[in-house]
Amino acid sequence: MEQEKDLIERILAGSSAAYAELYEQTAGDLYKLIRLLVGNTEDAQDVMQETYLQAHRNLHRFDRDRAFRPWVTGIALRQVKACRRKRWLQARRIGRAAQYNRRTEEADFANESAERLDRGEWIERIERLPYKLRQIVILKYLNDYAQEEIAEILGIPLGTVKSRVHAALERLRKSGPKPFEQESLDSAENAHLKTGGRYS
Amino acid sequence: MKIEQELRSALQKRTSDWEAPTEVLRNVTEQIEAEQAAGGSGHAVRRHRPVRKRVLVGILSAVLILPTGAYAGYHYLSDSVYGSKANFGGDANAYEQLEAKLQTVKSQMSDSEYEQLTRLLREAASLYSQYAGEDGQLKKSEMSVEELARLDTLEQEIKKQTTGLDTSKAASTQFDENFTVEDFWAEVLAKAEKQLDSTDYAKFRALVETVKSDVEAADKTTMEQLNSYLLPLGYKVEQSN
Repeated sequence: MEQEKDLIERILAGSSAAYAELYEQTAGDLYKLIRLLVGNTEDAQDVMQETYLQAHRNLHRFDRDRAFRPWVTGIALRQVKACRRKRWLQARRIGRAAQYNRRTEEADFANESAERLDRGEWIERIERLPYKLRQIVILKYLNDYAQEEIAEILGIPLGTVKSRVHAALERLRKSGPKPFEQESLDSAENAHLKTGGRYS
Repeated sequence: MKIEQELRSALQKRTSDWEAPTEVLRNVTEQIEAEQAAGGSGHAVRRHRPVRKRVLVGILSAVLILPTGAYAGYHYLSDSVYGSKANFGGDANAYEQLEAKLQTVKSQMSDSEYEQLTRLLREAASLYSQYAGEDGQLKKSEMSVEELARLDTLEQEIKKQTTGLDTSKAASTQFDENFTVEDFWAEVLAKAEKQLDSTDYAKFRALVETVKSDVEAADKTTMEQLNSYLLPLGYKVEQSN
């Protein structure tokens, strides 16, 4: 924390090297969060860039007794929101662009191993969650933020965070991937039905 | 495996080979340096935006609101000519008008053209400030022949460079009678809500409410606090005389 304070002091004094250091310390996790939320690398890169520019411009107002990571995450989420709004408007104009992106993402999963396909299925389920729930799931289970921190980042009451976590887990449980054996059994049953039992 | 562990594991696996692109840092650094070189000082710099200047008319208050394209560390273009507002002989409004004109001129010129114009203006301003009386009139009788000739040349040159440039916009946007204090705060709050996080927005809103309810309470500290939020949004409030 003290080291982070020093770093911020140096940035405020005009050091680019200090800002690069702060970027190196925080950008990795933030990029993952952003890319999961926007769904493609191009928008993720734009959002990252705008986030770190905004953070730099507003650093003089940052309360140095608090941690930098949740603060910059809050900025990133506002940029993600703006990006989604912009994309939604574009999608309305271009129509099928969003579907195209989705198909690309799905094709990526197809090349992965069986184990990763199972995990990919969780990701797909997460991607299908409403944005507000998805955001909370990623903040909690990827970035490991405590529920109190999530409340602060999003500017919502702790109770709302808790109920969203609960709602998200409920939805994921209901639609979650079945255990491997069960899934195989289901596939076998389907095959049986489709072939009319000729190969069983 | 518990669902929470599965989610954690799935998210980690999915993102394990995702790395923040290096060009982001490079682009951010370049942009920050470009903004700083363009006139900002320190960290609180912003991209250039078209200047929007409105002097609110009919405010029965101690606050004269001047939304500008300014940012923290922003230097008045007029300062590049006169050093500071304090060195300018005319009143504050005239200075603001000059500023608006310079901003308009700048937006219509290339950087090198503008730099050349600034040099001429600076030299002319220096001559004016040496020989201007308290009434703001130039005391030509006290000037040497060379100085008079130089001033004449400078004025011709400035005229030549700015001929054809439209500064009427600067004048016409100076006063906007239909734009009320309420409109101003509504515009600013709407912008702040989009750009600030909820804590900062709440603090800013509280400050705005204080100033709106009792404008006399707007002391220097309150104005500074307000401007720390307003400047990054592209606005600035000043105490009127």
